[in-house]
Amino acid sequence: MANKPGGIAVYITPDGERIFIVDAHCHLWDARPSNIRNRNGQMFIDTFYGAHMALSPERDRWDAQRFAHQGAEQVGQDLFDNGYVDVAVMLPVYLRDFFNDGFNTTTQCAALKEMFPERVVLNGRIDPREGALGLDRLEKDFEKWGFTGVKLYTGEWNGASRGYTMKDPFVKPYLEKCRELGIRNIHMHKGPTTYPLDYDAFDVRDVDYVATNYPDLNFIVDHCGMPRIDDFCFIAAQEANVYGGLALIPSYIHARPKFFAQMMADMLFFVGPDRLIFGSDYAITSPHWIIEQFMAFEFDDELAQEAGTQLTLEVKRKILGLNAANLYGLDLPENVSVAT
Amino acid sequence: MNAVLRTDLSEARKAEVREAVAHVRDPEIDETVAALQFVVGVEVEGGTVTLSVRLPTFWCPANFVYLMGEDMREAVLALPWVGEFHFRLVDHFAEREISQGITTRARFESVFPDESGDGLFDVRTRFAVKNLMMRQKPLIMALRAEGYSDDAILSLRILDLEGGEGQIATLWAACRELRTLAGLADALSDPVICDAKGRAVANLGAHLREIRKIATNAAANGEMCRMLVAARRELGGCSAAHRWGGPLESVPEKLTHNEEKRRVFQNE
Repeated sequence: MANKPGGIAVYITPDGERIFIVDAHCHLWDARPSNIRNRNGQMFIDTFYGAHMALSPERDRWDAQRFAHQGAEQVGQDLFDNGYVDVAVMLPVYLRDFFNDGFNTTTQCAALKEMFPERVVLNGRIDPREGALGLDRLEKDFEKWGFTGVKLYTGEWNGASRGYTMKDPFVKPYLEKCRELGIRNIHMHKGPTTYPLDYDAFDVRDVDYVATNYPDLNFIVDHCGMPRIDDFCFIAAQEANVYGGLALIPSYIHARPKFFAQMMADMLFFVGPDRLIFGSDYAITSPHWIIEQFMAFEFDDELAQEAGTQLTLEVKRKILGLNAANLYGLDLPENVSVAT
Repeated sequence: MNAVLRTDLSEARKAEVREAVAHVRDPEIDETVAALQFVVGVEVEGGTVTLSVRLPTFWCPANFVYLMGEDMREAVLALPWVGEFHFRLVDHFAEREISQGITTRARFESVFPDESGDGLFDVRTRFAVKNLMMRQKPLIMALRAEGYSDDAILSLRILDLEGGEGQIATLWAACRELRTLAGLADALSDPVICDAKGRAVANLGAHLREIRKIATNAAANGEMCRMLVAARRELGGCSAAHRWGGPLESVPEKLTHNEEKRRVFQNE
């Protein structure tokens, strides 16, 4: 660990190489009792807290108050001062059915962007079920913030609807609008969800459909379809514009390193090192301990064979930053190696 | 019967119930309810059994819960002294509907009439296929250890393994019991090792790599379940309002899942 001008820490390997790190899956939220709308909201943050406690090293576990609400200043400390993160990609999740003012809104993320304008990638948020109204909102949000990516969450509660698929006809105008505005990165939450009554809510097979129909857009499948990683591998292997947003998989590295290794091996074998994007899933888990352990991690020989590659420095550079820098057109600092 | 004997009998019966449900499997990850520690309470009153179940999260899929609930009910009702069975799911978004539905032997589709996009049968089938794939691996390993070449393993037909004894027969029985559930052919002339469609496999190495992918996913999910079960237990359940020292009243009284849905409709 070394200091940048301004006292901000970056990751330096034992050999003195600076690693460029993009944390491509970050949230900041307000789940304080005052913002909780109903029991679902309470249960939602409780589930997150359970995951936080289960996955984090003991010294990095927070009390429930800190977990319920971080605030931009604290997030800056956790990501940039202590977390080795060069650039953080924010992924809003509204969940207004559960939280009065929303759980993690674009406005909350924008406050972080104001504080750290060069280090935050702000994404918009769409919910194609909102029809013409939502399209207007997307245009207004885009005018205001000028983002290059949006987050959507096919399993999100919205009124009486508990989910949709990317094959639904109302999705099309949104993707067309993204195209028109130059929004190229579509983050799709395909992971643990709040209403998985149907298999559909976390089914990844609809990814295939949109990826084929919109070859000029990039689809980042966040959480790699977990708990359907096997299905995701199958889809991602076929579509060049589908990326694996790893968030949650690296979070296993401390509590369940064996399972982390197996999942990484499958991702590397089926998707490959050029289309995997690191994410800490902050604030469920924090980047500093994940990145330290990730940089030190190696596969045993058997797993390297299963993966088709060792977790080399080159692979780590790509996953931790270079792939996301490509997707988001980020400028690399001069002293960062992109050597292969 | 005196009080002491009655207590002993009741304890013995509780143990029988625990044993009966222990083998029920989570259809998604092919692990047992016992291994996953889902059962949180057993009550016995004469011939009436009440089984309390808590899952890793408030959000666990209703369809999988329902499948397990049905299996647990049938396992308990198979005990000769059981006359009545009550299912009690706790800390779950659809706890009332599922508890009542399992207890009254209602079909999933009638409990959640407008939301069963995939019928329960389809879900069971899809996961039976994945579990069958996973169960093939130990069988393949045992056959290799017995000296079978890969070609010999791939050309085995069901009739070659029927009626055998020992480890291979046991591992094969575990596969065979899923063939029908998975909707795959299981005539005597069908291949022992098959792909997800029941077809013979051409390349055993590639087949094992496929199985590995499925197994990695299931194992990682299983670990997440275990971690969340432990976190739920250690954090004292789901009443985080207490932990924060906030007033419990700030969390509105819970509606059932269907009531909540009606409320949302009415507001619109």
